[in-house]
Parts: sequence; C-alpha cells; structure tokens
Amino acid sequence: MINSFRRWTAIAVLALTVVFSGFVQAQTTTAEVVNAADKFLATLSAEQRQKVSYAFDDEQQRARWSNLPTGFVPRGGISLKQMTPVQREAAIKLLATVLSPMGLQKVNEIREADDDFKANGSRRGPGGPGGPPPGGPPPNAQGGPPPGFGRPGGPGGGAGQGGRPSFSSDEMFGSNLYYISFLGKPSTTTPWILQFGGHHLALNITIAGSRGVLTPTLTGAQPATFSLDGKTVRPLGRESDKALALVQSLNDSQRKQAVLNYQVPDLVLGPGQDGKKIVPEGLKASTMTPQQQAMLLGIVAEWTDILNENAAASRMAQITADLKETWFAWSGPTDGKAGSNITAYYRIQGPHLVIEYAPQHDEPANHVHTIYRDPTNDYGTGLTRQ
Amino acid sequence: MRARGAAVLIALLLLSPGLAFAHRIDEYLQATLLTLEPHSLQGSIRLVPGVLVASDVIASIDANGDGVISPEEQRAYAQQVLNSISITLDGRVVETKLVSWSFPSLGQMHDGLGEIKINYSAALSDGGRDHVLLVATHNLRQKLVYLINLTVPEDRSLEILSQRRNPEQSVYEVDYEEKTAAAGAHDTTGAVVWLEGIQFSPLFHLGMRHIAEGTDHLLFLLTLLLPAPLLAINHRWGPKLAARSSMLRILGIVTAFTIGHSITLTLAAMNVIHVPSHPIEVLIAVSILVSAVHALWPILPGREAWIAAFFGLIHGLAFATTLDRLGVSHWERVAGILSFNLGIEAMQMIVVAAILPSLLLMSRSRAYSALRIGGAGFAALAALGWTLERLFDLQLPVDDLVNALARHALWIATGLFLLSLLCRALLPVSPPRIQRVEVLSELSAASTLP
Repeated sequence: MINSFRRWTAIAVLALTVVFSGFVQAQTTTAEVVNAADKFLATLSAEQRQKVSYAFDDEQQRARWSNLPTGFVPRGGISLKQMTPVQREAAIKLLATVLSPMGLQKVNEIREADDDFKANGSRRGPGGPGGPPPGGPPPNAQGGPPPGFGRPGGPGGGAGQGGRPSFSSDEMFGSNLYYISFLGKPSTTTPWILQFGGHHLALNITIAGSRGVLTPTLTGAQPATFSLDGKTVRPLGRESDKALALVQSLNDSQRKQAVLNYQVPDLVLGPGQDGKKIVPEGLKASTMTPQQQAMLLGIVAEWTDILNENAAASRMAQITADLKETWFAWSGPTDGKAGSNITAYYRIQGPHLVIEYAPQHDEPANHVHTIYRDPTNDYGTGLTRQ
Repeated sequence: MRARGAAVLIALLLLSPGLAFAHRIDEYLQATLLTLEPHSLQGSIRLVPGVLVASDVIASIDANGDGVISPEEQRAYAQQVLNSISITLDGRVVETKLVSWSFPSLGQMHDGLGEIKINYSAALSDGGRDHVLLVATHNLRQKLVYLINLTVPEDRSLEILSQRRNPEQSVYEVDYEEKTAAAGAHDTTGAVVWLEGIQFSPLFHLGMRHIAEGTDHLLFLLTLLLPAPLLAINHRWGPKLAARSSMLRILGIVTAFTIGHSITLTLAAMNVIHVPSHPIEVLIAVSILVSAVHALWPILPGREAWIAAFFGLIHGLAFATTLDRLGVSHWERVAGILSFNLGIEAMQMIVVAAILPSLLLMSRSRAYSALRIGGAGFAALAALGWTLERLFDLQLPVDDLVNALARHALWIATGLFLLSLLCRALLPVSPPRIQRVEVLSELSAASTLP
C-alpha cells in the first residue's frame, strides 16, 4: 500500500515535472541569445552602448526602418562600419544566434547585393563578371582606392568615368552600412527588441521570454540576381521560385481567383503601415489541394525560418492553424521559370500574417521589396504591452 | 547627410539615365486605405512623388512659386487631391471633407522620399442592407500609379462581399452588407464557437508558458508555500500541521493568488486600469522578498492567503503586460483573457502538484527546516538581486542563475521528491504534532515510524 502510494506519487511527480521542464527547456535559446547580446554590448564603449540602446517602447525607433539606403533614411544604433573587428564579430555572432543559418545567409546575401550595387549600379551587363571582392570593401576603407560607381571599363558599362569621392558611395551603399540597435535590455524574461537593418533590410526581432517575433521585417534586393565568386546569388530567389511554382500548380478556376486583374505597383503595407489589416483577396487556401497548401507554407517558411528554429516552429504552427483562413493573391505574368526572378507581385494573407513580394517598376526582375508582418503582433505587441 | 545623398543621386541619374535607384523614379504613387464604418467612410491617402516628377509636383503645390509651401498652399493642394476623387454609394454622390493633411519638407520631396498624407471622411446615408461603394480617382497633373485597399471593418455588422478594380486601381468598387443589430443577436452558433475557441486558443498556451518561464512568479508562489505546512509559534516556525490542514492552507494560498491576479489581469487587459510595467516589475521582486522573509520568520502568520491575494493583484498586472490586442470585440477580449488565465492556472496547478507531495512528506521530518531556510534564503537573495536590478537598472547575474536552476527543474523536483522519501524513511519525525489524523500518515502508517 505504502509502496504503491509512493510509486504513484513518484510517477505523478515525474510525469508532471517532465511536462514542466518541457516548457522550461524552451528558454535555452533565449538565454543563448541574451548571452550573445550581452557579449556584444560588452565590447562597446559606453558611448557606443548608449547609441545602440533605446527604450523598449520608443515608438520612433521602432518605426525607424525603411527599404531606402541609410544615407537617405538614417537608422538608429551603430553600423558595422563604425565597429572594430572585435565588435563586428560579436554583432555577427549575435545575428547567428538569433537567426537560423538560412536567415543569416539571406541577410548576408542582401548585404552582398548592396556591395554589388555599389560597384556596378543597377545596369547589368549580360552575364557580367562578379562584383566586389568577397566580404565587401575592407572594414576601414580610408586607405584603399574608392570603389566608385562607374569603374572604368567595368561590367556596368557606360556609368560614367573616373572614381567618385569615396565618402559618397561609402555612405550610401555597401555591406557595412547595416545598423544594430536594441530597444529594452536583453533579458530572458522582460521583452526587448533587436533591430538590424540598412538598405533593403529591416529585421525587427522582439524577444519575450521564450518567444521570438520577427514581425515586421522587410527584405529586398537590388540586384536581385548577381554573381559573386563565379556563383549566381539570388538573395530572394526562393521567394520567387516557390511562389511561381505554386501559381503554376493552380488549375484554371483557382488561377482565376488567385490572379488579380489589376497592377500592384508597390507594397501595400510597407514601412510605416504597422498594425494595419486589409480585406484579403485572391484564392483561399481552403480551396487548395493539400500539396498546394504545403507549397504555400513552403513560401511562408522563407520568412518564418529567418529566425532560429525555436521561434520559427511556433510561428509556423500558428500559421498552419490559420491555413483555412489564409489567402494567396498574384498580380502579373505567371509564365516565368524557376531560376529567374518573377516580375509579378504576390501577397499571402491570413489572420496573423501578411507577406508581400513587390517587384519594383524600375527593374522588375532585378529589384524587389518584400514585407513580412503580423498585424496583431508587429513588434510583439500581441505578447507585450507598452 | 541628406543633401549629400541627393547630390549623389542626381549625379547618378545624370551620369546614367537608366541607372535605377532604390526608390520611386518617375512615378507618382497614390496609395489609399479606406476604412468603412456603418455610417461613415474614412480615406487615408499617401502621395509619394518619384524623384523625377518631384519638381513638377512641387510646382503644382507651390502655386505662387516662391519656393515655400505655405499652409494655405498645403490646404489648397489637399483639397485639389480630394476633388480628384469621386465617391458614390449605391449610385448617389457622397460628399467628402478634408480631415487632416501633412507635407514633407521640400528637400525630402526633391529626393523622391517625401510622403504627402491626406485624410478625408465622408458621411454615408443609412438605410438598406446591401451597398455598393465606388471610389474613382482621376489623374492629377502628373501621371499617377495607384494602390487602393479597404481595411478590415472593425464593426462586425459590416460584411465585405466583393471588391473590384480597374487594372490601374484608379477605380475601386466594393459590395458590402450591413447587418442590423437584430440579425446579429440571432447568431446562435456564436456562443458555441466562442466556448470552443477558449480551449484551443494560443492564449491558453501563452498563459502556461508565461508561468513556466516567468521564474519570478513561480518563485513567489513556491516560497509562500514553503512554510504552509507549519504552525507559527512565538514568531518562529514551529511544528507541522496535519496534512489536511496543510493541504487546505496550500489550496487557500493558491486560490487567493489566483483571485488576486485574475482581478487585475482582467481590469488591465480590458483597459480599465493601466499601470507602467517598471514599478510592477520592482514590486514583484519585493513580493518575493516578503514571502522569503515570511518563510524564514513568520511576519504574518496565518495570513499567507492574504499575502498571496495582495501580491496576486500585482502579479496580475504583470501578466496583463503580456497581453495586448486580444481582439477587436469585447467578446474576443473576454474569451482571450479567460483562455490566458486558464493557461496560467493550469501551469500553476502542475507546478504545485509537482512540489506539494515533497513538501508534505518532508515537513514531517526535521530536515524540513533546512529546506525551508535554504529555499527561503535563495529566494531572498534572488529577490534582492532582482529588486536592485530593476530599481537601479543594474546588470546582475540573477536571471542567469535562476534560469540555470529553472532549466534543471525536472531534476530538482525529482531530487526533492527522492530526498523527501529518504527523510521520511530515515529521519525522526519532528515532535510534537498537532493533530494525529492525517491523510498521509494513514496511508503510510505501517512503515514510516522508525
């Protein structure tokens, strides 16, 4: 009797603590992120630290992001360029902790695209050779010759002769002009925000306990296809290919609903449009085949999986649960082929999701802006108040 | 900085006309968001002139050409934009009026970065159920590209049936239905759906996680439970209570905590009260300190439930900071709060159930003093650390330490249970006992007494 009482108590305690610890385990990753953030902050001077730190509820700093180059829309915080090699390494380490390997690669390729833009402008010679040297310009580019916009005889061709003053190009473009800032103090319990961004990139990562929220986040690229070290790089290539595959998998009646009859010249819910919810249009995922639904989630994963596995999994679970109420809309040609960027706009929208992929009119296949939002949870406002 | 940027941009454009840039070049974007209410329409327009059309747009605004955009010129241009929009509801013309407008600096506009914002409103005549609203925009002097969208109506009596646009999006038409209040009341399935929603709500899980990971909430509750099986005599913790009394007391404490935090959580989540989070965080650290001191020396003997209820009120405010934008309607909010609170309760029960047997078993032995004093001491130190951290914005390793322990909660709880079994089997029972009728001793009468 006693033994059985003890045995059952022991079993009950074990079972319950297993459940309990399952919840606690989830925090491991947050602790690692906080650790990496603290390590980065510890490398900064007091002045730098003050520069990267904002109040958690600083609405202005929250919204201080854009698709535009940092020379036009100054970001908060400090840039990689303003950091010492040790600081830069700690910053990248922090990104590598909070992002997935795929997310980090995407971020790096967006930055590399900006190096390429700096070197070659937007005019692409057909199959032109690679852009700037790997890793972008040297960290302290004071001494070296300025890259200039129109390198004589460069692949860009025709874009002027002679170097421009180094300050202008260096202040406008390049993989080192990406800024880091913190809203609130890195903590495993109280919410805080990590921002990293520059031209064509704005990551707003809210960490609240074990939860990581990536919304709102902007990615973009110009050039959206370039070559680096002899390899073709498409920072947002899968976003293009996967969506094209989905639209091409639709039957006639599905396509009729999904493909809008009107042009969409830009992001509807781009920078400055926080928390807005528009009436969805297009094809409802509930009318898709299971295979098409999986393809749809595969597109969404290109954004959700930017964050590390822990945060991405719970976000994907939420979006999967919303699937029946999720819409897919397309505007533009559907006859592209995988491997080259679409010139069409598309939008995926659900109760907790807005994704827009908007080719820009100046160079539709080579210049794209995308936005990723949760209108109920931009900056984690669904998890936190203030 | 910006002027320099503009110089670079213009140089680029001159050098290479085809050289595209990161933003609008030769287009004038007009992006409209419409918000529909039962008897009114709000329009919010963003106008973004591309860098090559900017000077032309500026010339249209700066009517007298003095290089300054005066308030009168701003108003006149906003009105001009509004005049280019014609709206009809069910075929009848709707009058619009300007609500507000703002203009960027000339420099920003020259850079192709300026955003003109114009808000207007229109009264919509009531009556009828089905409506067609048409918004047509005519070109200004410059060629425009359009975006027009409708925000999801907050009023649930409005149902959007379909939207149509021309290829340029300059003509937009929406069919919608306006349900009467009576029609809404007959919606019988609503209550069922609502109840189902509570159980499966992500907020339930959020509530559970919040307790599982909110080490400070847990530490408060566990510390308060530490002396619960004991009786205070002469300002010291004395003999243990009968198991039944202990259980009742623990139940009382947990219930009081629940009542306390439910009240403030509901009030705060319904936006009845709003308290900044910083002082709350400090008070929570203090609450742990109080319960730790109480576990060491009974400062409020027999009043544990009241402590729990009082600090429950404060912890509830902290829970509420996790919740915002629960939903649009009152019902959604209430359901959300309920789900979240149930999640908190569920997790609390699990933790208490995991620790309770150990406490009860161990409280019968002398070793319990060691556990009580050790536990309370740890809680007191952590609470002191948190208080200092939160008061003076210091960086102390308290979180790291507590979280490191919390991560091993499974082993600690199991270890504690094994230890309590060991104590029960090996150590003498602490004398004297107040009551002989005990659930546990009845169950284990045969072998426990040495």
